[in-house]
Amino acid sequence: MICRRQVVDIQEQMDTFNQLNVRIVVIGNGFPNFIEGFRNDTGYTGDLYTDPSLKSYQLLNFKNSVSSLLGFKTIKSAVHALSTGYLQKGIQGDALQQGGVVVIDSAGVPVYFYANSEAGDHAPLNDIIQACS
Amino acid sequence: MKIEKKIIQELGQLTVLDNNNNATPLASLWEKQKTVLIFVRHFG
Repeated sequence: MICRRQVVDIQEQMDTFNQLNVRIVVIGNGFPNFIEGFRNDTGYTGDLYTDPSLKSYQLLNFKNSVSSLLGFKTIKSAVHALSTGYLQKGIQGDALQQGGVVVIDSAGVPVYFYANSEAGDHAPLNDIIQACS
Repeated sequence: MKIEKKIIQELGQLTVLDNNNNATPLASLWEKQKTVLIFVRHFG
């Protein structure tokens, strides 16, 4: 439920990102055949890929542990996701793997980086937009 | 949080899959414009 909510929030700002000439790419880690289902559920219209090998996640040092699953932010965003109708369905991918956001300019220079500390912790949308402005 | 450009160069060498199982080098995603990569936990 939690990661879907993040993508829906991003989708709502798609016009803003288009105006800034910024490309949005969502990367998951489930099987490729789950990509379309995720697109249908979220209404997300941008680029969507998957890395079942988790190599990119590991390189960026995103957390992968049981302790990262539950914490205050998890509960807080679960309540938010539930109250806005985003129930988690079956998990496709590594349930313990956390994600994050990296903004990269066309010269390959990272201008923003955020590693989620636990399930439900996400990069603030305003920070992402600011990094794109 | 900061991340080194060197890590991004390594990241660019890795590939991701689309819904048809075709591999795309990550570097190709940001070579034309600034790009936001959002790594989600899973497709749940």
